[in-house]
Order: sequence, then C-alpha cells, then structure tokens
Amino acid sequence: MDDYLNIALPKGRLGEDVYSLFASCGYECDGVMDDSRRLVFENPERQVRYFWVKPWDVGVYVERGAADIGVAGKDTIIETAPDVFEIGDLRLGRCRMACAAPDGFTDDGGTVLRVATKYPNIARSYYSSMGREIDIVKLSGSIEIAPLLGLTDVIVDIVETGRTLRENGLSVTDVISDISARLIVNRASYRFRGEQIRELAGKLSSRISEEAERR
Amino acid sequence: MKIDLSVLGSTELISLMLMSLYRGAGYRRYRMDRFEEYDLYVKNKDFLVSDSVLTFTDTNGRLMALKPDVTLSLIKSIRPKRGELSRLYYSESVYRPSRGDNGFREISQTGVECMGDIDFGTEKEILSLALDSLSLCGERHILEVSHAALLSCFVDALGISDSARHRLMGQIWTKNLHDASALMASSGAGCAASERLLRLLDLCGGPSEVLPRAGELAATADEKKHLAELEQVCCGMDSLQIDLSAVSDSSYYNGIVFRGYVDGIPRRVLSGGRYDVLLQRLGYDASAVGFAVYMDELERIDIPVAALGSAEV
Repeated sequence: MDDYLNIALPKGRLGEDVYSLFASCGYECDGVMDDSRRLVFENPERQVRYFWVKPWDVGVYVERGAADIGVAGKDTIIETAPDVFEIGDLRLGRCRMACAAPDGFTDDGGTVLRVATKYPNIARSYYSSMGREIDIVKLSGSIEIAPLLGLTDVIVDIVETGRTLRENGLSVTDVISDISARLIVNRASYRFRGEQIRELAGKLSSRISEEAERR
Repeated sequence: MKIDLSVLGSTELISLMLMSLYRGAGYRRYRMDRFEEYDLYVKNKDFLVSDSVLTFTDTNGRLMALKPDVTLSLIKSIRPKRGELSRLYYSESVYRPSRGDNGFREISQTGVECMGDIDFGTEKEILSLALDSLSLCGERHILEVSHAALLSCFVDALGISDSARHRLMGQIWTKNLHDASALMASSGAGCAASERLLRLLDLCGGPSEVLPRAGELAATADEKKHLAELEQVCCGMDSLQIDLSAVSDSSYYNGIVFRGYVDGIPRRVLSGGRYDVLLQRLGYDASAVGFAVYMDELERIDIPVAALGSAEV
C-alpha cells in the first residue's frame, strides 16, 4: 500500500468546486479539471490521488476504504448512511431538503399521502416522525413532474433556488434539513493517516472561514 | 501425521491462532448451538447490530432464529453470578443482513468474554488480549479506547431532550462536530456544558497525553470516578489510543468500550467493552467484559501461510 491520500470527488459541478477548494489549499493535481475520460489523477509531490465517482457512490468508496476521504452531499449521506466519519462542512452546494406540493394543495390526512422522491429513507423518516401514512414512489429524476401528472400528491427533493418548483406550479411546504457538501473519512484511515487528514481538514476549514469573511 | 498449514485460508489460520492465544491465557472454549429462541432477540433488539434476524419455525412450533449475536446466548448459557469469574472464548458463526443487498451473510466471529466479578485487572487483561489479537492480524494496528459512562455524564450535563440526545450521540459517533454544535445550540444546551463536551470530543492520542487533559474537564464526582477507572485500566498500556468520542449509542455499555483496526482493512476488525447493563437487563447481578474479532474483515489479509510450514498432530 502506498502513502498516497486517496480522495473521491463527486462528478459534476459540485466536484469541480470542491477540487478548486482543495487546490487552493495546496492540494492541486495536474489534469483533474481537463476535459478527458481519465478518472484517476496523482500528484506524487503532494502524495494525493484524486478520482471522480458518481456523487451517490462517494460514501461507498470511502466506507470500504477505496478512498481515504471523499466529498459527498449531506442528502446522499443521510439517505445512504455510510459508516464513515463526517468531519467537515465545506459549505459548498448549499441547498435544502424539502417537501413541495402543487400550489394550493392541502393535506387533509384523509387518504394515504403519495410521495415522489429520490430519497425514500429521508421521506419515510420525515413522515413517520409525524405519524403520517405515506406511499413512496421512488423516481430517479424530474421529481417535479410527478404531482403534475397525478402520479403523487407531493414530492420530497432538494431545492436550490426554487425556480424549477415555481415554473412547475409547486411550492415548498416544509424544509426537512439544510444540505451542503461534507468531508467524509474512512474510519480506519482516520486512525492510520490521522495527521495527514487533520492537516488537510484544518486547511480546508481555514480557507472556508476566510471565504466567508470575505463575503 | 503432518498437516500442511498452507491448506488453510487466512481467516482459518488467524482463527486457530486466536483460539490458541486465548487458551494459552487460561480461557475455556465454549461451544454453542447455532439456533436460539427468537424471543431472546425481541427483548434485546437494541443490543443487536441490526433489527433483522433470520427466523424459522422448528418442529415444536417454536419461533427460532439463526444467531445474529453470540454474547446474548453466552450470557443465557453461563448464568453469571457474583463470587465467580468465567473466562471463555468462542469461534462461532452469526447471521446478519449484508450491507450491499437485502440478503443475509454468515459471519464468523472469534472472541472472549469474562463474566462474574470483574476488576481493573480483568479489564486490563482483556485489553491486553485485544492488543495481542490485533498483533496476529497485522503489524500496524490500533486499539482505540473510550468510556461509555464518562461520555454519558458529559452529555447528561447538557440537559437536552431524549430525542436530541439520540441525534447528538449519532453525530458524536461520526465525529460530526459541526452539526453537533448546531444541535446543542438549538436544543437549549448550556454554553459551558456544550463547550466542555466539544473539548472532550477533541481529545485523541495516547493515555498519558489525553487522560490528564480529560482530567481538567471532569467536574462532577461521577466524571472523576469514570476517568479514574479509565486511567487505572489504561495505565502502562501506552500503545492504546484514547478517543473519548468513540462510543456508539448503545445503552448496554457502561464502562470501557474499544475497537481495533488493522492497517489496510477499511473497517474495525475487533470490538468490545464492558456491558454490566446488558447482564442486569437479562436478570443477572454480575459484571462482564469481552470482545469479538470479525473474521469476515480479515479474509483479504496477507498472512504468509506457506512460511508456517506444517503442524504435527
């Protein structure tokens, strides 16, 4: 086993913002942002190795030790509950996990509430905390369309600006939790490479605070 | 007859070495039935790793389970009491849901339990056996130790509701101190108590480094008592790592709790602790401490089996 710190980044815009944050703390790596099909990148000098994975898979890579650390949205962490440490809030990709319904909809509690979502565990846990009986319709995307077509009564999804909801005649009825990108760490890696990981987490945290002050 | 040890896989070999280690330390092997009455698990569900248990109806119509856990059955069989000390080891299979899909897995566990009258000497002996067990699994290893009752005292001092406490314990378990701070603030926890807890959770390192610093934070008689217990047990064992946040939200552990890691294996390979509360819940007035080594985590470990040659039987 080499001494590289293996870092799983979520593919997409959030991952690019996360990489920029890491690079600004001195953990840059050639080629990461190039438009290519390569997935693994190394910086021998810094002893870091980045790889791009699907955002929903970051937790699995970290839990099973393929990555020492990774960055995952809080939404995927709550939904998939990987057995990892969550040692930092990177304050990137901020949004809310919310329930939304067609404008004017009221839940009178008379029927089983039909809920469309990509997050069945979050939806089940939220409604069971209120004792509300629901029927979950698990979808992979375009959740907003479900109430419009009469497939469900409401949706549970992440909401960033609320524009998509508004344009589809939906509005937020309740906020379940705030979401942002989190730094997650494999439990064994934290033990054996704690110094390296805490140094990185400390630098990220200082940079995030500087950015917040600048704003 | 000579047996070529290279016919054994890593986990079989480690299991044999562990059993030999425990036997050499004066522990007696305890063999158990593979099945147990389901009722035992219904009453003690929160002790189990998962709520899901494989069940079947036996020929008498009783609802039975394939064991998801060894400790509960061991307590039931031993019936521990004060004035005695049972030192036992086992190597058994347990059946638990697999994480990747909806099926079950057979997982082999080898471990030790001490039940009856437990003193600091017994706890030290168990920690020492845990360290020796880890040494057999890999050269680079860490045994991380915490104290369930000590952390509980610090959390009690916050004066927050049970549901907030449950959420907070989950956050502590994942070292999620950013959300823990926000939760304490929104749950009406006192500032001083919150600050004190966060400082405790930040402590991590060898006993001689961490315990004096924890001593500066301990305020109540109970906190000081639990810390003194931890000091006494860890005294002279400098290779231990103290991490006072490493306590899962289990109401059964009341003293030391520990987990073992081996470099190159992504999950804990050993876990254990002091669980008097579980015994009391099952109706026994006695103490107990023990640990299990998870053999399934060791399957890919590189043990130079060929170098061991053969064994004479």
